[in-house]
Amino acid sequence: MGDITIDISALIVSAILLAGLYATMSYGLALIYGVMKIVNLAHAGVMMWGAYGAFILIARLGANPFLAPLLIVPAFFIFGVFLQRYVVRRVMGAPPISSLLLLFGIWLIMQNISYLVFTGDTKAITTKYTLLTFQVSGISISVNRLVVFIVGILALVALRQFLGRTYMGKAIRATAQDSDASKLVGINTARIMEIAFGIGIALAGLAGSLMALIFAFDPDFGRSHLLKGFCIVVLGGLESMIGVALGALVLALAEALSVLWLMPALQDFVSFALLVIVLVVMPGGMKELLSKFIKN
Amino acid sequence: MMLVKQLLCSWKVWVGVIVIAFLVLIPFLEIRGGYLQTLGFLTFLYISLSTAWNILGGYAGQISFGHATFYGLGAYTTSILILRGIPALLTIPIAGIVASFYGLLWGYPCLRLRGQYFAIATIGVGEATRLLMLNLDDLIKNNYLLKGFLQKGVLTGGATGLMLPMPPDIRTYATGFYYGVMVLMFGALLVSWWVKNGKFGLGLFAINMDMDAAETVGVNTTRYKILALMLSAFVVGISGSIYAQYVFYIDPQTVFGFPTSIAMVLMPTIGGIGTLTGPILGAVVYIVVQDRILTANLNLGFINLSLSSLHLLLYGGLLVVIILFEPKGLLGMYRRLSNLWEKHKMRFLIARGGIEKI
Amino acid sequence: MSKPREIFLAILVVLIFFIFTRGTGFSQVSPTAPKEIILGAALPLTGGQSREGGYVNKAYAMALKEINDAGGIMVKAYGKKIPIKLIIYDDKSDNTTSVQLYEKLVTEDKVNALLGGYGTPLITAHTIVAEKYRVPYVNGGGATGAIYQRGMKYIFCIISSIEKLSFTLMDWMAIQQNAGKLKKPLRIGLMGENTSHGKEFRQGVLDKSKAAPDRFNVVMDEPFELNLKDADPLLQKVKAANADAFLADARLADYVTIHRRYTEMGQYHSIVSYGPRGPEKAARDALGPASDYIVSCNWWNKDVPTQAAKVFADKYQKTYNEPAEWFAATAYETFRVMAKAIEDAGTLDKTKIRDAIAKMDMRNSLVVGGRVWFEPNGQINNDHLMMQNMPGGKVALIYPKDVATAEPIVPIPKK
Repeated sequence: MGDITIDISALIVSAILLAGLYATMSYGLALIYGVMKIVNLAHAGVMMWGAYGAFILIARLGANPFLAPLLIVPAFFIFGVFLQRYVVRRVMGAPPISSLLLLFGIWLIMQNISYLVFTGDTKAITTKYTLLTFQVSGISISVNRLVVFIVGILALVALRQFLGRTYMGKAIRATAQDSDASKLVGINTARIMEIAFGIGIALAGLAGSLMALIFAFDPDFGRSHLLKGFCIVVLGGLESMIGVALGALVLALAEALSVLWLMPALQDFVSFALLVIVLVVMPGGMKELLSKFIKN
Repeated sequence: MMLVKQLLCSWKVWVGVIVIAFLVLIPFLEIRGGYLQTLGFLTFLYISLSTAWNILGGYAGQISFGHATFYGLGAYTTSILILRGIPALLTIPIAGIVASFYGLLWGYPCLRLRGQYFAIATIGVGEATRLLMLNLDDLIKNNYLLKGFLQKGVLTGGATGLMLPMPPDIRTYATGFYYGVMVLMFGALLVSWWVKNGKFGLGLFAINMDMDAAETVGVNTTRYKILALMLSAFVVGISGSIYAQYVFYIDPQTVFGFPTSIAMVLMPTIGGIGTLTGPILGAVVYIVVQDRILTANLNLGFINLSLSSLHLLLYGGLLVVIILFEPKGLLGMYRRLSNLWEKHKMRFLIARGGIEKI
Repeated sequence: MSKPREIFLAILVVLIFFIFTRGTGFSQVSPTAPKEIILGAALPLTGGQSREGGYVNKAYAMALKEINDAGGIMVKAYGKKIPIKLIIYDDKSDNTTSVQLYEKLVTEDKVNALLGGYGTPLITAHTIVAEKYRVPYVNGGGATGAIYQRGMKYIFCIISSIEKLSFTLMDWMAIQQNAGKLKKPLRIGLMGENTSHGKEFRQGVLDKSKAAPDRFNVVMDEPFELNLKDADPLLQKVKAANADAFLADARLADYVTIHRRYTEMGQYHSIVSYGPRGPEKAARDALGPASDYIVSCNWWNKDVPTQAAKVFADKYQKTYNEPAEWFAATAYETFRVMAKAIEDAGTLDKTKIRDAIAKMDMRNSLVVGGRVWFEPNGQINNDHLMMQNMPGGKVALIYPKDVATAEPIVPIPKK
């Protein structure tokens, strides 16, 4: 096979961009789990609908690919609020399996609607930004992926600000910590859950609409992202936004660099093995690691 | 003698005998052209899977989304051994044991996790196992020590899967397996019944209700959970083994895939999680729904609506409705309705005057 | 247990009994001429193969209408034309479901013959059912050679193996080498999806390289999992391997991911091929001019200048308002092959139909070479078609010579 030397710096750059993608597609999952302790299996379906939403806006109606998400985010927020208010709320106190299977059922319904409207044919969105890159010292960076990365950072900052500084955000965190105590201090926990769920769904829709610019998709889209998302959220410590970002970074780097000594086909195996190991050994994930590190 | 007399009087026993006799005779009655036999095979198989999952997920309350690992391991163990000349029937218990030990391997660390964490971990295990099996051949082909396991360069066959040699008379063979899987099903039900009514089961229910309290009263929760997992894995492994020998072809996506794991959670949930007969009901509904939805056509005169294009919708809808309105599954619904009926009947009779409260 | 509960239970048992035993009643048994000839197939209309399944479904519908509009198939034993009834089920791209549905088609619906769908794993699994009940089965969507090496007598396929496809590609490259257009020895960077399709493709390339080390040198060979999120690590490896040719086997979604990144990286190879992928409209649209000059090798193209191919291409475009892809063409032809076999057999006896298929020699077919015939193992052994994407969204046929519409442009012009 001969001696081949891979450009490590290029690998790292693409890994960082990928981390942005991973983070963006995982925030929604982490928020909903963090606040409501619900594993949202419909996250995949929402991302897929986000992709198709972008498809309609961009490919059919000619919207600007980077402005389309601005329409999608509020639409999905409303959808999320409705979903929580009329459907998910009823399983809030039930054992975890109820919410798991309920959202799975919703995912199936979302898939079927897509099959009926769009058929199972693979779709892709091509815009003038599709193959656009800009070069940084010999490494080509895809504009679309860069946008996703930037959104990933912006979303992180926005979420931290929101959760940390605003009344609503603090109310959300309070409800997540102790819902009864929150009620006692006058927080409308039902409303808060709706908003949190809505934001989580909006984030998933945002991720989907951006990923539609990069990947080809069909109604089955989102499944592999969801599974990967679990790895990232667990790695990050399950309830922390910055954990998600860190987890995404670690995973993306591990996957990219594993190409050097491991079969590329095993990248995903590494992710899932890490998922299990982290859960067993260090459920607090990266966040816990970081806290310990900072304390020392 | 008294017992036999009692049994003979009870109409339930007679119904049971008739049902079992019917099931035994199915291969000889050409109902639906013989399709009922295939349907029967799949139903018994799924009942076994459903019941086995329920031991861990229903009785002990540890929801596993990775049970396909045991199914796949059973299927692959059997296939690999058969391809190397081991007699087929011998591979069945071996498959169960291999699956069981795999359960011990990842169960021991993972069962320490509670609730959702365990469920998420099982998703990871499921996918990791599938990917490992997919790539195992490539992994070991350059390894000096493990290379010997390859037969003509193939151990698991990777994405291509494994094809088993077909006997000359497949139909008789299939009938044989029909009875085989029926035996498996009754075995699984027996195990489930034994667990439910024994001390082991009591411990599992205690763990389900309140793990800390169970620990306090002296239940070795770790050991019980692991045993439940291993037992569950054993039955599922054997089911996988039988499946492989019935369809003669397995590949990682089919037997290790996430959809298979989901199906094993779905069936007991639909039927009634944590009960003995719930999983049976759930598996039956699952098969019936699958068969009907995928093949039905609604002829409304001018439009011919193929229900199969709506199968995900119907499936998802069924799930949503059950979770929202009757989380205890169909069995739970039946019990609720029959309790309601009892209450109403009592009120009615008392109001009519003349019946003392029994 | 109280009386009402007992009654309820009894009703439940009876209900279950009836649901299970009540059939959907497509079957018919009649000594005189049957009302219809029943053909059946389970297709992946949802799930991972839903894209191709949809095309196959439409192609079958088109062929069905065509034959029924002419009155049906002429069956000599009854002295008249009998129309066809086609039963299609959705197997969700799942092996077990596929097996179950083919069992149903044979036993309950009592089909006279079976048609296949698309996708090697599905076909590998369900062909066993056809063989088990000795029902003739033809497909145009499962090319993997291993399916037909199991000694089965009732299974037929009208597309050549993927191994042969990769051989065709390699042989064609050898011809270019002889003409001085490609380097010799040629360094090849190879990757393929981790499925039996991808594995067979890579194996074919590796075999040809081993057989002719003076011509071909595979410097990189990697499988990759489906649904790639980032093709960069793999493509970095390709870049570092310093290959002259880039060969890959990927389905549409991964092709888009990989080739977009390839283009962004500004990589160059004198030959780029994604196996059968590349010439279809969806692939061209997703990549634009970046997909120019990609060479592909598959089983049919709408520009094949034979009458049969053109008629099908036009009809499909008119009926469904979209261009046909190769699996639609082969599905259409599969249906026609089965119809012809029934006609040749002159009866609805399954063994006779099977024999008619085995010795079939159908001319004026839209497959490459215009002829449909089967090797003893049941698979056709005709040539593959090679084409190259040309600028302006066009696709030119470059091999075999008798159907070529343009000269191939080799090596790919540098920007």
